[in-house]
Amino acid sequence: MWSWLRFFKKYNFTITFLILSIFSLWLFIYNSEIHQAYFFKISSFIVSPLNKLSSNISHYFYLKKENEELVIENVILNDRLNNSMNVKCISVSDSVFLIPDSLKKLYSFLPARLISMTIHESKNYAIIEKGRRDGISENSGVYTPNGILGIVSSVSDKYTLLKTYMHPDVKISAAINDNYVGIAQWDGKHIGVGEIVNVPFTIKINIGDTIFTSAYSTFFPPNIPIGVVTTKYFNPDNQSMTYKFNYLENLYRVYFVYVVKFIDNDQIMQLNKNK
Amino acid sequence: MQTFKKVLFALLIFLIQVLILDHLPLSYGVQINLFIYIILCLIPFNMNKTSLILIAFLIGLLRDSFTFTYGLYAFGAIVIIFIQHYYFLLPQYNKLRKIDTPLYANSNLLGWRSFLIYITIFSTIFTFLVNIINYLTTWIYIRFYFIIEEIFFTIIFICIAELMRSWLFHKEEKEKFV
Repeated sequence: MWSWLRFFKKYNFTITFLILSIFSLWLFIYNSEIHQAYFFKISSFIVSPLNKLSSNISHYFYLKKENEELVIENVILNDRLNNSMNVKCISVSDSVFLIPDSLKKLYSFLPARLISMTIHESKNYAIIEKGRRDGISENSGVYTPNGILGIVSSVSDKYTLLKTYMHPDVKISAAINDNYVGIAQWDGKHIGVGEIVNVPFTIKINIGDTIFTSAYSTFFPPNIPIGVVTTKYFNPDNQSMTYKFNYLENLYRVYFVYVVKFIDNDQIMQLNKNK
Repeated sequence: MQTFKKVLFALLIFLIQVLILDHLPLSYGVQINLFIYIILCLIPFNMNKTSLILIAFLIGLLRDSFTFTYGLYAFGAIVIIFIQHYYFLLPQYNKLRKIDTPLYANSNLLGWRSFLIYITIFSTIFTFLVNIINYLTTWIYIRFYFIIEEIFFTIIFICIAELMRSWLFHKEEKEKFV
């Protein structure tokens, strides 16, 4: 017993180092969604107010630019509104009307302010200033007027942690030119660069084509811009093409976002569980 | 009083790290790790080793909570403290071991040449370690060029912080040596 105590006293520095090393490596390597949510809830008391302060200061310098963007967005929304007014309901009989799919409310939207974001890590996250009490839940998509931003990862009462598109887990169903649907994901190497892999070489996609979210996505409504194709190359191993694209949203200057929830998402999740 | 000022200065460095440097579009993917300056230079290296490693772990973990990399920077911080212990056992630092008062590894104590060697060694170890673990766990590319760029910018910002420190604490240090 005494020899053990003497041993610990003699090597306490090395033992502490080893214990803390193993603990921190375990914490990082097995950083599961549950750990992430747990730590987020603990650290958001300290981290979020500080990030909010930083966001308030930097936001002030971009007000002019933001106003210009809001004017452009208003024009686009007005245009969409006018188009949707032209859709007529189908009359089945004198008393029954079928509401066309285009007018059914499939998604709910919630504006929120972004207060923090990482860009330089291999798994990047952001925090927005709204949480469960505002109606945000897991598996919701987040986008800006320029394009998609990420997917909600965990939610506390006041704040929401989301995985930005620069996170290896964020894979979004994407459509190009209405002739191909694939999975868009970060290339894991460059800031703001994504890729769509294993595209059959028979599909015609050109440099400069815009990639949009597809109708198969449960996170986003269709036709939200994702990025613009910049390069393409052929993979001789599996006789397919890889398309690289630049995400349209510049992560360095995002302030306001929209959280979008697919209203029937819970039902789809339930169906998937019952498979 | 001087300790209180040093704690405030360390807090300022940490705030610069998390509020400014982490959001700086300096270069694609480059992460400046100024916060290691707190661990390397603002904590007395001759204090109790176990306390030193625990403080480094907590500072690393606090940094992790801002980058959502729970454990990564904490691991980097304790490794550099562990190596720092053996670094100051080198023969050229024999004279420092006889001093009982708290010693800070800054340009005032080591001289600018030794200080630059010291921060270059530790910035390199820290940056390589953090990047390799980060990229091995996610199985994405190790960006060698970016690591070199990160080390370079980390050293530049540590030098700026050290110049600030020597300007702020110039009077106290002069009195101490007199």
